[in-house]
Amino acid sequence: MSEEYRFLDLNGEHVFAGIHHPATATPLGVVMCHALGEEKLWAHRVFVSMARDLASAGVTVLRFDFRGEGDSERDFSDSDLETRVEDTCLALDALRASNPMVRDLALVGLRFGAVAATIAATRRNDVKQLILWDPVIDGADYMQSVLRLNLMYQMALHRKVIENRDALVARLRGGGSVNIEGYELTEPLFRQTSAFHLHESLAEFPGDALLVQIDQSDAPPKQELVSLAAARPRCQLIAVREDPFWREIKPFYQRAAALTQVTLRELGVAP
Amino acid sequence: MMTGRYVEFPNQEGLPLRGILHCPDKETEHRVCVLLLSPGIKGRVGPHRLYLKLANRLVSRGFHVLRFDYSGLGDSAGEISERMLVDVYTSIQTGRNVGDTIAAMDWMQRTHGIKRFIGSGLCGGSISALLAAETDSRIESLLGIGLPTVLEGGPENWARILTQQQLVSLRGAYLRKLANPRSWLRFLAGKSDIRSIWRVMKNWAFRTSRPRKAPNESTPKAEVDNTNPRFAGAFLAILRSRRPVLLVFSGADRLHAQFRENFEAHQAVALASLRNLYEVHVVRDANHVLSDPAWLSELLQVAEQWLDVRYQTRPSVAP
Repeated sequence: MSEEYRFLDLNGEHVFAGIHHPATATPLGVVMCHALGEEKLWAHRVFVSMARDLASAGVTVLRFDFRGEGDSERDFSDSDLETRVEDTCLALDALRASNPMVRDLALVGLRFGAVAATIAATRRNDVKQLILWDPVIDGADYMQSVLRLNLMYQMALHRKVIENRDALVARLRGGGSVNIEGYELTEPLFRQTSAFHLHESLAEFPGDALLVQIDQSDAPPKQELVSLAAARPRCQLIAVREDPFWREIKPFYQRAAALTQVTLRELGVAP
Repeated sequence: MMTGRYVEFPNQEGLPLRGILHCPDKETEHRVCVLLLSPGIKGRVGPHRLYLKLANRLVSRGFHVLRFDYSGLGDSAGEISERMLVDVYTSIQTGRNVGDTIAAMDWMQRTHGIKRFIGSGLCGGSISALLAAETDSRIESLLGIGLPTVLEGGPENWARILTQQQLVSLRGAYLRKLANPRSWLRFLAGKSDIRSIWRVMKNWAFRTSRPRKAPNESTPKAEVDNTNPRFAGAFLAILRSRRPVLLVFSGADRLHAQFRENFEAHQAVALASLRNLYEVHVVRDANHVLSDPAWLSELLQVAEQWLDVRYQTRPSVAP
């Protein structure tokens, strides 16, 4: 196995990527799409470990930073959902180019990364599988949860909310930005994400999809995920017991063992 | 946002460390590299890409900037044995990353001929810079952001690395835990750090040694002392070798108060002749990660003024 890190070129802009090459490659290649903002950082080591485990199983894996995040170019405020979909497509092409053995492509997406992965998969005809870890189901709900982080920040700073959600949305619509844990959220990302519905996007995807609910307890799957999986013959749902490693939690999460097992099995490369 | 150049170099165990090197224009370069050392476990970009924002400004003032992932973190090779985040933090605060930091300087010197470094970073990054500077004089100044003086967590997380004096103060805390059912549940579930408990209690049980004076020159305290046992020694060593220090703290977290209470108050005599070598600035209301652009702007302004005095820097282009 080897790892190759470099900047990909997207019309003159740099997208940072790491490619995990297996010692003996199978025809399978996986692109991993990370979560948004700080969630990406907390989950980073799980992504790295997963990529290494997949490469050990013969899968060529490409991880990358969306523009506006990580080591890639652009300010966060100049990135949106569309740029993330473009970046995902670039990553898929780069993965193919890096290893001519790769024939079958799969996308793995965590949380908001699942949104970009799903949309990218529907725009191409070469993605065979989607594996969505704790995916965002309703983009508008998700954006509200993102705005809630700003409200919490206001509470911590002023001990009260100075600008409520409506005011924050009005600011976005007026061309301003809203600070989310240090990232400047702007209107295009807010609007495009708010219009996202996983069931609509999945309906356009002809391949196999696995929805993975991640929960610390043995809670039954969420009803919305059950309905989503039931509505599509090639969509399955599985619940995995893991801590929410995309947040600051007490354990140091380098590897999500149960999630790794499920992912390897779904990709057909489990030992 | 500038992206820099991907770099890879071996640490002292031969494991590849991965990072990004930002190089200034040839005409403005000082041949001084700022090491932006990774905070905690968030890796070389820092929270909200703080390190990219800092790197862009520092490069425009003629500094090389190297930011990389420590072994076991980010994209670098290696594994971390600690299972709890607090234990990872404790290990960082007591020197886990010093070897990797020295390896980074060795690599910069070998490949770029740069021998002068400014140690910097947020929180865990700044303590790594401090501890590396204690043993490596190539770090000629320290720009610490949210430098932690005390250890994270509780006695069960520290006992492996505390001084004898501090261990004595912990004994009472452990004895009180005997009456706490939750502590027993934690113990029986295998979540307690048995090695730490043993280290604290054996001293008491066997009375093997008298408490000795802590090497950090700290004054004994009556209550549990969570001061990082390596802090004072390292900080004083840097000042005594006439290396300047700028510390920037966030007003809304406890780190500045802890620096005053757990370090300055205890080291008043030792610091009397060294006080002019370090400056402290507090960004009012700022949170730990300086997430508001105004707080970041203040940090940059203070840091640049401090660097201007020492390195005669001026921006090569408008940032």
